[in-house]
Amino acid sequence: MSETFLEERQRALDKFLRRLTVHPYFSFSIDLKTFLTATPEEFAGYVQESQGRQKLMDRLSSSVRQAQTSFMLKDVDPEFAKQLTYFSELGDKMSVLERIGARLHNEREVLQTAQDDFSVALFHWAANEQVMTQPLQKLANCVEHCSHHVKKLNEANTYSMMVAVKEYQLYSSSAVAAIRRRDTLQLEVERSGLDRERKKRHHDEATASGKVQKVMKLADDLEKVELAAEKAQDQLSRANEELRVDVEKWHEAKNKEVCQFMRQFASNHVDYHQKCFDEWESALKQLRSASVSPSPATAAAQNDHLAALTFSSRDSDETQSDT
Amino acid sequence: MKIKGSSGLLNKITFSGEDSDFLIKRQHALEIFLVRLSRHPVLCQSYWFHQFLENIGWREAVQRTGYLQKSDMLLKTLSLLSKQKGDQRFHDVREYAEELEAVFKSLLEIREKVNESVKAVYKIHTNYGRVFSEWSEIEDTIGTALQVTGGSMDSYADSVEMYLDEEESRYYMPLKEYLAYCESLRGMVKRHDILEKRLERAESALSTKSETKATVQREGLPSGVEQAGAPPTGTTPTGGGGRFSLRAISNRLRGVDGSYEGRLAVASRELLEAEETVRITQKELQLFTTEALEELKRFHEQKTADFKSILINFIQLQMHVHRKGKDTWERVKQGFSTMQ
Repeated sequence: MSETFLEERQRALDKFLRRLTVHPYFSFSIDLKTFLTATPEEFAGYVQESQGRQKLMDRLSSSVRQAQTSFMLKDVDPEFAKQLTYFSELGDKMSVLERIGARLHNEREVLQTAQDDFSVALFHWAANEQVMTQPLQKLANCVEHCSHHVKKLNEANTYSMMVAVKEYQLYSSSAVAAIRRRDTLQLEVERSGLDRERKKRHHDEATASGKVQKVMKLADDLEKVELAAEKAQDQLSRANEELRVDVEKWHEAKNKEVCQFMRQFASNHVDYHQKCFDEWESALKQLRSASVSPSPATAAAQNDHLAALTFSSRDSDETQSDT
Repeated sequence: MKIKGSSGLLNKITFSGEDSDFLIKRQHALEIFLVRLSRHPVLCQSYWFHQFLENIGWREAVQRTGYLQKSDMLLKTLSLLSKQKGDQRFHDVREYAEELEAVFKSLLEIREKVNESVKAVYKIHTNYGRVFSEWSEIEDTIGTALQVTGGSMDSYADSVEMYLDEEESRYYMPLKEYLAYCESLRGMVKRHDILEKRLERAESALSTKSETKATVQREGLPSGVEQAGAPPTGTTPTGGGGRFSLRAISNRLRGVDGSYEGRLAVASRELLEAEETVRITQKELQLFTTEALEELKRFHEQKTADFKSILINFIQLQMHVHRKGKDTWERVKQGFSTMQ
């Protein structure tokens, strides 16, 4: 692993931990505090201890169960349904971007090789000539440098864009998981609501039929079920509130970070094109200043013809032919 | 020096008689070639060049000269004789031409690969265009910037078409033209070789003839001494000494003068002819060499100017491509910078 990869990895982890510590919910998490402050051995012990309660590891495995619950909701909450759709689609977009990025990476590697070959061929040409040797060598060098710039572009993209895309892919999946967890709670509320209604019905029936023993037992049950329903409702309200805040924060952070990594992504390309432009420009300068005495008539003829093919007049201010 | 090379064109596309694009390019290339010919100090005065320009039936006229048969014969002559010395300058020319041809062929091949790759890279950006446009639809704040990105990616991908077209005319065609000129250079060297061989043959014929004459002279010497005072006996069937010779009689019958004087006369005449041939051939070779070297000098000057021009155009194209690319990505960057 190269040094740059490790640096980038460090940077990404740092960013992630920062995000956690300013998060309105997670910053209070005991798990996080322990992770940040305990020694490796202490933390290992802590993880083992918490296996009994539903903590770190369990949360991950329960996401599969949760995936199915969303479809069983009676009253789909429109706000959260919309967010669910959004985050799934965002995740999809990130996957596509990842795939495209990988293709480009490979294709650019092929380009590098081809350009290196081109540079070698230009050196051969230079060797066969006498007057034009130096300009041709300069050109060969220029092509070699451009090939190198392609390599740099690939690297730059890998460590910025590709990392960011991957991060947002994971981000999207955890957002989807969080929304589904909330949905589970809603399901619980609905279920306990149905429960309560059923018990009430039985209770009323029993009262009507005068079975006192049964009525008393059912009253007891009813109370328990009432409590459970209230608790579920409480949980749901709390979860809804938290999630609403989270989602808002997510969107804020996402907007800011997308701007950041897109700016970086665009910058990488701007730099690449600028560097290549500079290379070609310096090759042109040397070519023009080469002590070559062209026979004016014929060289001009060539230029006239080829100038007719020039596509934009914008070019002519910086690229005047010398004959 | 007759340039029989053609301004060879692209072999990638299969020629269709109705492909107007191809026809236009072909026409253009031929035009450039004709202008080049007309600017050539020697060729512009060439009879055949004028014929081509003025006479519709030029092709038949050329064929009637039977140049094809002549060149075949010349080639046969060449293959019969072995190379002995030869003018180093012309060896150098052949080497240069062969090397240049090899270099240009590889340049064309490799550049094709490079462009394939470049095209692939640019085209993949169409996918970026689609994704970013779709993404912009589900976003609020950053939607506009994403849309700009999508559009930019599409135009970035499309820009490669124009680039490939331009490379064709700025790079491929001129290089292919020079491949044909390499052929011409080699042709010139061949002609020089032929003339050299002719001279060699003439010179060896000369030495044979002079040997023959010396032999005849030596043969006639002893009998010559005897006959020194005697009157010429060319009329008697027996040469000198009264010996009977079948050959002498058959020579007599055929009208060949088998006598010493006769043979000496023939040998002398042939020697003179051989000397004349050598002189003529030498002069031919000298004239050709001088003209060829002059033409070569002109060629190199022209070539240097052409190469410079080709390279300048090529580089300008690359600069344009990169400037355009940079502008496109700057637009993308701008889109995301206006919101903080």
